Amino acid sequence: MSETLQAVASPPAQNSLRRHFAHVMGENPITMIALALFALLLAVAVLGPAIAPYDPWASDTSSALQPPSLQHWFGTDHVGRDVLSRVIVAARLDFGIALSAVFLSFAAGASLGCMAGYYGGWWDVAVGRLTDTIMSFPLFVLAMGIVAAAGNTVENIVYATAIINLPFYARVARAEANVRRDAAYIVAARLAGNSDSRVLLFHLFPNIMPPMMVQISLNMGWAILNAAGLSFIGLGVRPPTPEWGIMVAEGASYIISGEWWLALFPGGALMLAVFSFNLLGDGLRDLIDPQRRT
Amino acid sequence: MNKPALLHMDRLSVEFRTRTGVVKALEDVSLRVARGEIVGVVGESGSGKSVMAHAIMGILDRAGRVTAGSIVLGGMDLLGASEADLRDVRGREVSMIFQSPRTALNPIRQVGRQIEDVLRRHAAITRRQLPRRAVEALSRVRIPDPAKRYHSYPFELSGGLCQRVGIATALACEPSLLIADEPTTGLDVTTQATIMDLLRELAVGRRMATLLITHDLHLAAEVCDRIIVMHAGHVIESAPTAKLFREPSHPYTAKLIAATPSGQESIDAIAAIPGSLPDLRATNLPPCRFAYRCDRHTRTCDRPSLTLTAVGEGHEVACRRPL
Amino acid sequence: MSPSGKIALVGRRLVHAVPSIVGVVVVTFLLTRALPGDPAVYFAGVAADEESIAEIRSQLGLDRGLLEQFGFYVRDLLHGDLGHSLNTGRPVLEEIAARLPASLELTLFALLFALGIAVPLGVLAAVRQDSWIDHLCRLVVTAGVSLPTFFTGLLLIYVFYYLLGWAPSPLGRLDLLYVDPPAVTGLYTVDSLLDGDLETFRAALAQLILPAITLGLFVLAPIARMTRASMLEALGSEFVTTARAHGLGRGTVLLTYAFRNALLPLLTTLGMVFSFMLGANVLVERVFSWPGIGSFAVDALVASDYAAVQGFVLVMAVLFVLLNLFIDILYTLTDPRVRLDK
Repeated sequence: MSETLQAVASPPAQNSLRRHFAHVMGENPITMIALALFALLLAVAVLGPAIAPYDPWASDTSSALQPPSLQHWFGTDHVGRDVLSRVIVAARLDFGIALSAVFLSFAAGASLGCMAGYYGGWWDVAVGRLTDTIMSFPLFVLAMGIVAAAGNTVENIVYATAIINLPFYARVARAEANVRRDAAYIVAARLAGNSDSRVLLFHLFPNIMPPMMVQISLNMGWAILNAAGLSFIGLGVRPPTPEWGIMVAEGASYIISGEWWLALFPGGALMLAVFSFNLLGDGLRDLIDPQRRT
Repeated sequence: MNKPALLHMDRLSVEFRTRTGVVKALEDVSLRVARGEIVGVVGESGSGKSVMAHAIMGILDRAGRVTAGSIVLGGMDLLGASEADLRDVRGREVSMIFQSPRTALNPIRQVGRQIEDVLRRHAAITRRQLPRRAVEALSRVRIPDPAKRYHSYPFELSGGLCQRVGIATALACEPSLLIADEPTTGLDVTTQATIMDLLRELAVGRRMATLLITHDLHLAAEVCDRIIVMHAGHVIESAPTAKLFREPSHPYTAKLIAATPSGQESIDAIAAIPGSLPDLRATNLPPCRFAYRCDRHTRTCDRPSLTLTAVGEGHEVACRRPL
Repeated sequence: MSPSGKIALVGRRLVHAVPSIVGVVVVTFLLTRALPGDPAVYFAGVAADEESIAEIRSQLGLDRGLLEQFGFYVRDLLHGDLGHSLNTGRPVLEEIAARLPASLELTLFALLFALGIAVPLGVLAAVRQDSWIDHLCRLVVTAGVSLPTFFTGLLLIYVFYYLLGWAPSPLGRLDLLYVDPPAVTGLYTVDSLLDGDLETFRAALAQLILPAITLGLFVLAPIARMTRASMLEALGSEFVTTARAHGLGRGTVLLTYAFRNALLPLLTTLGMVFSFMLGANVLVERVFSWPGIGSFAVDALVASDYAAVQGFVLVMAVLFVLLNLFIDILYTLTDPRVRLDK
């Protein structure tokens, strides 16, 4: 064996995933904070009405437009509803919309992308055309168009958000599938007699999950922003349903005259949610694929 | 050595801070290069040759720092100089040519303009004269049709041509010291020969001190007056070329000579050097870093304070049990 | 590369844009045909009676096959007929054309603002790694992508209009006191300057500041991130080391060598940035009551004015394709390495 012109020092011992995890976490207290924040928001979303101090739908015009106080931590809105309760309950809806949209997007996008990357040929062209067409539109505008055409309902918000996010998953899945298509274990699985769909589902898919997980968490934040943006301009969720986007829309006219709490708290909650998702996504990416760091 | 030294490096030590530890890349490295002399620095990859070159130029990586020693060029203390002074010296008094010629050039700038950039910076000529001087520089390195090549982009040129451009740029202001860091490694054999011929001709013609860094021992043998052998950050032997090959003193040098094909041996006859370079992050490195790969190693070799000692006229070696 | 070579490349790029336009046209067509129920009813409007619905139906060819309908649609498009707005009765194209300059002015200023801050920030962050400016850049990038545009707009209004009183009332392009400048470009700032009317110019600019900053803040983050990343890569490349080894001045190394090379990847990022901007435009116009095509679209949505919405989506998409084409061409012309055989 010719070691004559071999390079420098011996490589460090392979770290176990756990040690790497601890290393990244220790280096990144921010990721820990993001995880904690995410857990908190998730808890709020899940518990929802159970922890809301007041009934989010109960209006009481006599106590309308009250600034934050001990009784109403986030104040009351223009029809006397408790803003804190509404913000809490809205978490469930916003999370629900975002999670459903992302899940749909991921399922469809990853499947199409995988097939495009694995089979190549006609599949590749078709999926490529589809993603290119979607990406030819400014995405938010396309979502507006879809909701306008299909009807102004919450389901359609989910579908629209899913469609506009599809290309991201399709592209990543396609690239990953393409790279792994000729990997030893895939070829072995094929030779062992597995049908293509089995190979895709049980061998390829699980292996592209790590980069896809990164995409999902990076995408969640954007999905929430999209959904909130759509409801801000009046699509999808309608008043009096509590949702962060329309709460900000309702609070818009009041903030100009100084009643800031109607818009600030739902907007702040929205920001916090998106922020924690983004941080989490960054942390996951550093953990799984440090070279893609920017 | 009777010629006065232009470059005088004395006991230079360089460290790199990395995530996994401190790498002692160079330790106690000393060398001298005189005007008109071509000195070769040879060693395996990782022996610290390039680090040394970067240290002289003052362009070490961010993580690197000089921890001891001095580098004096023509009376000027390079390590103590300010960045502004160094910028004046680089390209004018000392120049460097790099290993991969095409990536060493700005990919979106015409090569002629890149030469002009150096001229504009260091030479006292008017703007009008710049293009002409740039074309002259290109013709001095035997680039055919230099006026047309002025407008070429690096991707339009072959590796050999790119390296000629690199040489032209480095020599544009007639430096007194040229450092050539593996100048022919990325090129095919024929081109290697022509580039080396060019370098030697220019070096001799201008009485330029030249430091040729290479892992190719026979290349060094053809061109250099003196050869310095490095291993794992140490200078382990230094001798005039002929003497080094006739009577290598350090076991590593002997193995290196034996391991380098000169085209005459069969593949089986080429002896490999066992082991690999030690991990330079270790805190318990032995005084002789070749110790664990050496078949002459005994307890005496582990005694501290190993230095270069003379074993002949202009011949020094750092070994307790030289051949 | 020869001029004719470059022209050929530009021509190639133009050709590549065609499938995108085709795709956009097809999708916008399909969108309205995807309406639940009878599309004619939607196009005719809520107040329409049987007769006008039937009229609309035959006008749009909705009683024919899908392919024929598409044919009619394309024919109408080529004649510049995007239908009529239910709200105002005017042709959609006319409405959009009238409002386009307002959106363009907003987007332009927002882009200038964003570039003016993000690019230097990214460059400095790359040059002075681990300094406070690097950390600031990273903070801006992480926080920036989390900001909901409509929320930042409202916050800015609250702070700068309500609390501090520095900004004028967010009610459009020009305060009622002033008269619109004579239209040359449609951009109030430019037109008032051309007219020599400094008062109107200042008033128009004052109204523009908050919405432009809001929109700009949204795209600040991706631009800063990309600038920093590509600058870092350029600074770490071999040719920069070589430039330093030749003693070239700091300015030369930074600008002529590093920055110019970093610009190219940045240019390609702009395409994605425009996608965000055109979408965020709608939200910002809504918050600031800016009379551009974004608020036109929102009004149309609320009123179920489908022709108008369809027209809006189509125009925005075509605009986006053209913007990307422009960036593509710019890239082709500035990068000498782009060649025909690619």
